[in-house]
Amino acid sequence: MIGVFVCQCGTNIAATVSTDRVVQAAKSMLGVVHAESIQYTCSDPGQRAIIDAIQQKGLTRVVMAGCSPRMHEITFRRAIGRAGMNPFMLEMVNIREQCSWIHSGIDETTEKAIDLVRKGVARVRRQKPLQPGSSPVARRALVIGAGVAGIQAALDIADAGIPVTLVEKSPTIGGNMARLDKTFPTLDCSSCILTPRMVEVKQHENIKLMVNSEVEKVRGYIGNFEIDIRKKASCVIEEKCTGCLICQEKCPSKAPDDFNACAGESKAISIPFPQAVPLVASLRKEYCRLFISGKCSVCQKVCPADAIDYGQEDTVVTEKFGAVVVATGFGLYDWKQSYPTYGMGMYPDVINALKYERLLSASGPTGGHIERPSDGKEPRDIVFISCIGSRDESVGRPQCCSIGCMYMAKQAILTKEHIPDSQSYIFYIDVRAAGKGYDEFARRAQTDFGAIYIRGRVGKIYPRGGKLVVMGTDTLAGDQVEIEADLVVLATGLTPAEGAGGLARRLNISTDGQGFMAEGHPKLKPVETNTGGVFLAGACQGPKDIPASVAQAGAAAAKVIGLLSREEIETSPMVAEVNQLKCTGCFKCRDVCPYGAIENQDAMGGQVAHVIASLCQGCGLCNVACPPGVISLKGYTDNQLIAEVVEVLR
Amino acid sequence: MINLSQTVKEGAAVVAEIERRSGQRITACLQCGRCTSTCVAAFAFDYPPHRLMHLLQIGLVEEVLRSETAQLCLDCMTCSMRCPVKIDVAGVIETAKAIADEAGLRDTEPNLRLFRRGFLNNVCRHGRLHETTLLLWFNLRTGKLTNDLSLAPLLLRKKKVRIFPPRIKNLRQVRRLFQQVNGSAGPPR
Amino acid sequence: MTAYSYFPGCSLTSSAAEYDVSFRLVANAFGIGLDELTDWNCCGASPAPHHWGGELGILLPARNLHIAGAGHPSVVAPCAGCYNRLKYAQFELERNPELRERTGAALGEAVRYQTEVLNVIQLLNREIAPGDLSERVQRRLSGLSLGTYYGCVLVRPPEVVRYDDPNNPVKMEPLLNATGAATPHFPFKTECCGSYMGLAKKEMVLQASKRIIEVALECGIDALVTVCPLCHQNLELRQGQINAAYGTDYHLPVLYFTQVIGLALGHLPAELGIDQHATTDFGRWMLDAG
Repeated sequence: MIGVFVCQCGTNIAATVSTDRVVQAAKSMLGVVHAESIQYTCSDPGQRAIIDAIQQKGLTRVVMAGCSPRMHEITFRRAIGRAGMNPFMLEMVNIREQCSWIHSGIDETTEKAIDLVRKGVARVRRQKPLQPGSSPVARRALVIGAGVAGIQAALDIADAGIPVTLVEKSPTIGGNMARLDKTFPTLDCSSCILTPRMVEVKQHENIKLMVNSEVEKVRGYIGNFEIDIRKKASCVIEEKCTGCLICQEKCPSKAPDDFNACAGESKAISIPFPQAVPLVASLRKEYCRLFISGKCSVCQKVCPADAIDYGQEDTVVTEKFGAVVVATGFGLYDWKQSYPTYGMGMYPDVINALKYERLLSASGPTGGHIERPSDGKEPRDIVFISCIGSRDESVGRPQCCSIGCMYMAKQAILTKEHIPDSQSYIFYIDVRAAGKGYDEFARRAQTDFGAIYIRGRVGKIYPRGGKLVVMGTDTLAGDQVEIEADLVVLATGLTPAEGAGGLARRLNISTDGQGFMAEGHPKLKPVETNTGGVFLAGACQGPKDIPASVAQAGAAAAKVIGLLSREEIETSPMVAEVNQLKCTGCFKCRDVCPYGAIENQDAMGGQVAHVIASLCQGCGLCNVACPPGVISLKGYTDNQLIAEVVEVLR
Repeated sequence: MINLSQTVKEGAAVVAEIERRSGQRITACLQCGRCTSTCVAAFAFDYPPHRLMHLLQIGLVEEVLRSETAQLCLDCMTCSMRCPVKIDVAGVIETAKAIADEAGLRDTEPNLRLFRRGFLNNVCRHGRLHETTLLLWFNLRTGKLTNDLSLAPLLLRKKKVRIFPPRIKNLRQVRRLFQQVNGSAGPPR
Repeated sequence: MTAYSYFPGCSLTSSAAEYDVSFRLVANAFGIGLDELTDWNCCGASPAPHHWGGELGILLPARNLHIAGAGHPSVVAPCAGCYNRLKYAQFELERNPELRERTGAALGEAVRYQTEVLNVIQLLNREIAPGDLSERVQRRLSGLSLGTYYGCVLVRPPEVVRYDDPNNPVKMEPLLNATGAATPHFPFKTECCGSYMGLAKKEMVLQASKRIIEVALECGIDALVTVCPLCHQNLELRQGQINAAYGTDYHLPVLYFTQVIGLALGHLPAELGIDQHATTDFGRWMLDAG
């Protein structure tokens, strides 16, 4: 007793698929007793019509021809459940995303839709009723990355009384925001607003902070993740270090100053900045004299707290989490190779905006005096160039960095405040200042701080007598322009943070074309991912500014709190099942299972495979690996799949 | 004032032809000006490359076809290499020039046209280029006899002048190539 | 001994004779055989593709390809312009059967166009390992800063020539470095010199070339290295005109790639035709060279 419901989806489907013809064709398919076309099946009247048909015609199986199951499978399972059917006696046939949207001719598209429906009917005919299971929820959240987004998410979750582990791969929390001098559009001091939040993290009873740590392995599923976290050896015993900085002062090994975007120099053992949390030194072995040449132990000798342990080794902790928030932030586009005409990094006075931010910052290497890298002189003429590695298909990066226009305006304002007789020039394509108070702010850079905005893109930078000639175009004047600059600041685009791709693979979440993590739906699931229980916050999902990152972090936290407030969650009944009568006990299935859901069981007079239903995620790997073919996936049996293929080839 | 509703409509056919022949999408240009920024020749143009692109966007095709830019572009392709939306700007300009030539719009930069013709006639005559006669011919035709005269002593001293023209054996075959393009025997005009 | 077909082109038989001389010397030193194409013609240079619809820009080089097709597997064209024209013709003939037909009709037989076309850098990189050159250096050019000037047509359009990075070519560098010379960052290595405008629109050449020289000097470069006779003419021969026009006093030597290698191998400047250049203000390093 199969019912077929063909959704018109307004004109989304009906414009290229004749739903009437699909209904006609469906009526003649084996087992179909009812078929109808409905304008919007997901609407309230649409669902009502389906329920009525089920009850009046006594339907036992339903085929929904409409959108992708990702969109509405849950909706229709609930609907037929309300009609008294087993919710799993449903087959979603996608005639929208994979049919009406991508083809044009009505006849061909309708043909294809009919083929797809026939396939669905064949499959649902072989469907058996299934009962969902349930599994307990681990009441602890993992937040990966402790920039402003991760901090916000961790605090929000912890404030709701849920324990949080906050993992950060660098020696301190704070992320990129900790490196900023002032923030747009209010010019409040970045560390003044961030530092209190960082301290809160440190002091919060529900937050366990792990710096120098990275997520190494992820097992399990929503509500029940089991995650290995590697804490890298820093040669410093965290509990003992008092942050006195004596080791850093005495250390003879120089090292790049990553925190200051290499604007200054640091030491092999160091604390990145004075407000670091935790205020604990870390040693970078790759720059340490002891680890390079075997001779040195100055820091150990001078440490008054006896906190140095050169023999320290990485440790791996394994914890259970009910939910994960990814907040790995962003990195900066490395422009040097792709912009040969800007000097490829050969001119020390062509720098990226983050380095300039450190030169502006009172806590930076120059104490807030703007000194250009080549000779330490105070620059007079400063050129800002927008869209480096953004909106530029010639380097494979078409997207807008979304913050460049604003931070260039901010830096031009700060430059004028630092050096009143300076002149800033900003090369732009469009000034994108769409946030609250943003346009007013960007305008002030021009009106109150004298920045000259030049609409055009720079072609070339080359040296002339200690200055840099910036060759550009003023498209509004319609002519080429050149500026003799003392300093050139590049607004480089945002990339995913280093290592984000690997983490995404470990978490089994997808990434977009630029490597940013993909949200579940661009509008309706902005913080979810395609993996249940894994949420996104901040710039790991795409370039964004501080307010947007914080807002998204709050949203992710709310999702986590909602999930972890439940005792248990329903699990899918579409799990693997072993026909133990025929199992040969080779355990190939056990070896391929990514979830550890298959165990040995003494049965049938020997060792055979057994599926732990609560762990199985229904991925189907065992199904394929099984040599005698005796494992099947409920709802996806070989029988059903073969029937589909046969029908579609007919 | 430019009547856009008129120019866009009237220019559409030529713009479409330029797009078709060059394989480029004029509409993709976002007017960032990077082509102009990188152009070594723009100082000599009436319209820098980005403006030429915009003229096409708004259908002012006559300005483009009659422009000095179309004639003077050196075809070094730097603009095409740098364009952030990957338009082959040099290809667009070259196409505009070809269409202008076909339409008989020959008033712009006549000397340049003369030079190219002289060069090709020279090659047609000898099979190879004879720089000396080309220089003399060009200066006679343009009436600027002192053009590059300053180089003469140097060229003579450094033995860089070849007095007698080269001549290849199978000149007939080379001339057939010219005929293929020009339809007539002998050096084209 | 590997032998190649050799297409000198018009310049190398007249105003750039020293390029031909130095190329042959270097080839000879490394046992590279060069067989000049019989009865070759002008490649059409810059005017052909820009006049009379542009088809002569294919037909003229096609005849040379056709001649080369009867010779060695590869043909070398040291002039960057000729190289570009040959590659262009090959590219167009490959993808346009109708054009192939027309070309064949004019030539009198089916056109042979598939011979591998090499530029001089490509050839020398193939035949000479930097290590071997370094061992054979008689006059180490240490302390000399060379500006590698590739120009535009050698590397563009990239889909046609398929040679080196069109924005930042680097293939000259290894052999030059093997001579002991330094090749510092030179931001104008693919900047156009003004092309064929020297006669008809001189100010374009003078301004474009002036900027290249100016930046080279700013970058501490002792001499530019090129593989293009037209670039050489604009940057070197016209340096006096540039000085006259802009009141500058430039004396920047511009050498052919092959001349630099020849110098390192111990040849005298005169043997390499360097004395035929306008700018012979070679400074310390050339005095050492005798």
